[in-house]
Amino acid sequence: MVYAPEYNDSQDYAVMLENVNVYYGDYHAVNDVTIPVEKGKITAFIGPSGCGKSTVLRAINRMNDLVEGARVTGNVQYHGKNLYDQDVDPVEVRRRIGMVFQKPNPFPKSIYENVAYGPRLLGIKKKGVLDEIVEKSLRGAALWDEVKNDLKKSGLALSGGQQQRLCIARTIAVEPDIILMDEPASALDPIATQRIEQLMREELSEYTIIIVTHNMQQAQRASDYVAFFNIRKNDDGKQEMRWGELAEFGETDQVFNNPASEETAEYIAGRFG
Amino acid sequence: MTMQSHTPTSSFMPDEATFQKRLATRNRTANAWKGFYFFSIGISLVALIALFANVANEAFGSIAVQFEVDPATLTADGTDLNSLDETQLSQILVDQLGGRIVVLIRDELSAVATEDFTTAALADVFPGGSFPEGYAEATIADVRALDSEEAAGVWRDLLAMNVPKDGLLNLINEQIVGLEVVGSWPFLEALFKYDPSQETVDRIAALPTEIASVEAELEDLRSESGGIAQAETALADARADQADDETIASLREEVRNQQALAAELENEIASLEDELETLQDSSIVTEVAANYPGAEIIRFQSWLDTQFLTTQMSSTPYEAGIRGAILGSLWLMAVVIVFALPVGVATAIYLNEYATDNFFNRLIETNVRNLAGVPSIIYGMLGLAVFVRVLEPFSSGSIFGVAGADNGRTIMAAALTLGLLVLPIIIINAQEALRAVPNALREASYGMGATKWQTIWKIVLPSALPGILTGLILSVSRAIGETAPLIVVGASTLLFTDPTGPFSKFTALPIQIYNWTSRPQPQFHDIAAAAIIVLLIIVIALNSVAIVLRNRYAR
Ligand SMILES: Nc1ncnc2c1ncn2[C@@H]1O[C@H](COP(=O)(O)OP(=O)(O)O)[C@@H](O)[C@H]1O
Ligand SMILES: [Mg+2]
Repeated sequence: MVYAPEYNDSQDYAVMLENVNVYYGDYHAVNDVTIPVEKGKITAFIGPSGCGKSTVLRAINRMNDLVEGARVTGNVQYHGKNLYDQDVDPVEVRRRIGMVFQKPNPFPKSIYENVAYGPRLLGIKKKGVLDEIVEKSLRGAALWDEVKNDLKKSGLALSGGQQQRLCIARTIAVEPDIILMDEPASALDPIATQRIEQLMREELSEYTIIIVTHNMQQAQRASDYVAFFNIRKNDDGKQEMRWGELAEFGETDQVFNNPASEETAEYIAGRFG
Repeated sequence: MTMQSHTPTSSFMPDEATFQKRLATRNRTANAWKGFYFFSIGISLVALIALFANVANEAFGSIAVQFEVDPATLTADGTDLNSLDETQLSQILVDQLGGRIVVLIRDELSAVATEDFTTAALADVFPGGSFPEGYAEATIADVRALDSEEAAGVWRDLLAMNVPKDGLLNLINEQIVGLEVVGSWPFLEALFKYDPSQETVDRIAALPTEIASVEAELEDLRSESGGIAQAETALADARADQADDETIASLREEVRNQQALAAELENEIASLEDELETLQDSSIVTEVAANYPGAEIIRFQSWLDTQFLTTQMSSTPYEAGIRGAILGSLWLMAVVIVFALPVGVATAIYLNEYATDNFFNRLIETNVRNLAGVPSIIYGMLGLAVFVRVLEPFSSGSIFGVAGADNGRTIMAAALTLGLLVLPIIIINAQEALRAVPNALREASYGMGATKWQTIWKIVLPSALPGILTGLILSVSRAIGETAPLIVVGASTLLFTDPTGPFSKFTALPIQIYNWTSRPQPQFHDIAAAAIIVLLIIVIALNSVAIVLRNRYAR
């Protein structure tokens, strides 16, 4: 029996994962994940490498569609609709559910053009409107003061931490509901990391954020909810099979101070992973 | 130096002595390879320099020219023709050609057909031109009927008013001066073999006298009263007198001696003549003096000059230019780009961004790679069969109603052939460039809610553009030097008109070069070398642009 958290059917969640399975070709990477993601809160995905955190995260904005052979089953409920229904356009999904990647990946364009990229995709052409969006988004990512005088400079000329904040600004420029962050600080130094965390708590406090992290302190400090994934093995003698499952989900305080399962306690204590 | 060893005694590692010995061997091997690399670079450098030197050596040098009329004698005080105005130049033409001026106008300048020429009005002969007061409606015959002085004035004004100065100068050169290049020498010879030493000059001056004196001596010897005849007469006399054997033998000996003397003199003459020839050939000045006594000047000649670049093809090398060939090559390049760039990039985008990994797509990709290695002449055969023959109505422009060539051997057919030839290269380079665009950028774009098309158009293509252009330029620079397919498709080798559009007959630089190098006259080889320099400059310029782009791309 796969673990599933209790949740309130009548509550309006930002996104609700129900019995989600992800396959890469024949490989069943993630089994039966159920996670209620609460609106306006920060949910952290933690767990050992390869347990499927990124896979589940990318299932939420249909990024896995880009991987040849990837397949998702189950229900990803968003505004009363399963994102994997036939009539849902993944382009629409990704505009509403934005994503920040592990390695900062600004476009090889100016800072301004990086942020204006999303609005331009949506057909906004007026310079004045774009200017306003760019400023608002850069402020939202706590980058405005550092770059307002050289918006024409290449995004690639910024430091790693600034680049990542530029990517966040770029993401919020199209006003998504949810921001997915896949280990957004793992390539950054401690100070830049701290700025990102601060940003999540302050400027981005209105957003629903789902963040994958390897860093226990970060999860504990920054998140409201924690989903702990673990690797399951099926050693039937012939061939070892591994896949990821959700092992525990709950409020951050509860998961860290009073974990329900032994494996969570061990992982948090740093005994594996 | 021996470093302190921390190796434990039971190690697998070699002991100190062995290590040192092996180290020496390793270093020797490394040095040997390094030497080999330097050697290889040396070979490529030498090859390159030899290539350039060889071409430059032919393209520049000395020529000896000969005039029918020395241009300095055309003006009263020997002023340079270039400083004269149109009227003065026309006056020279009229003065020098006399009645032939009418023939010149008919054959070189007139806009009306030869058979209508005499009855044509001047206004028809030079349509849209200006005319001497009152003569616009007069016919050629009318002017001819005038008294000769008056007619000459009309011809002069007519020419001065309607032919530009360059044209007049050309006419003077062609019709009067009759410049002919009688000899040409490559650059190195012109540099090192130009002047003879004083010693040589003196010797050359002295030799003819010397030869003459020996010849005189020989002649003396052979003359009726000469030594040979005397000896022979003496012998005959002695025989007639039935002299004793001894006397006859000695007289016979004398005859032989005299004949040997003659042979010696002959030898001496031959060797003196040899010497003279060798001395004359040892420098350009003496060679010209000996072989082309009529030649007026020897001068430095750069076969590559503005006149060469801007004038039309001609069957005389000295007057030939490559304007038509350059224009032909530029037209080819333009049509190749217009055709091959979009098709190649689109194919690369399909293969890279859309195609799933299945048998069919792998087959296409493998074939594209193989096509890049197919010899160009095979593309030429394809072009001849398809573009020239089957698609003739298209490649000759007749379905568009364009009055172009009367067959399919046009720029269009050749450019499509070259386009096919470079298409695989463009595709491969574009694919390479697309593949080099980090996937993270694509994901970022999709993550913002971009469609596939938007992602390709706004993120992938701009990032790949420098690489795509680099590939394009390299393939165009290959296409511009291709000769075989153009020959097969049927470029013209002797074309005196400029190409006017994609449906014209054409010639191209490599065709012109090929044609000129296969002619026997050495001056054609010189202009071929000059054309090679032009082609090399174009190719090197293109490749430099590609390198600059690639470097910018790498940053
Ligand atoms: N594109 C892919 N194709 C095939 N297998 C993949 C792909 N991406 C991830 N996987 C596999 O899915 C499993 C989960 O990967 P991932 O979600 O990246 O783990 P995590 O982010 O928790 O480290 C791993 O076993 C990984 O090898
Ligand atoms: Mg991951």
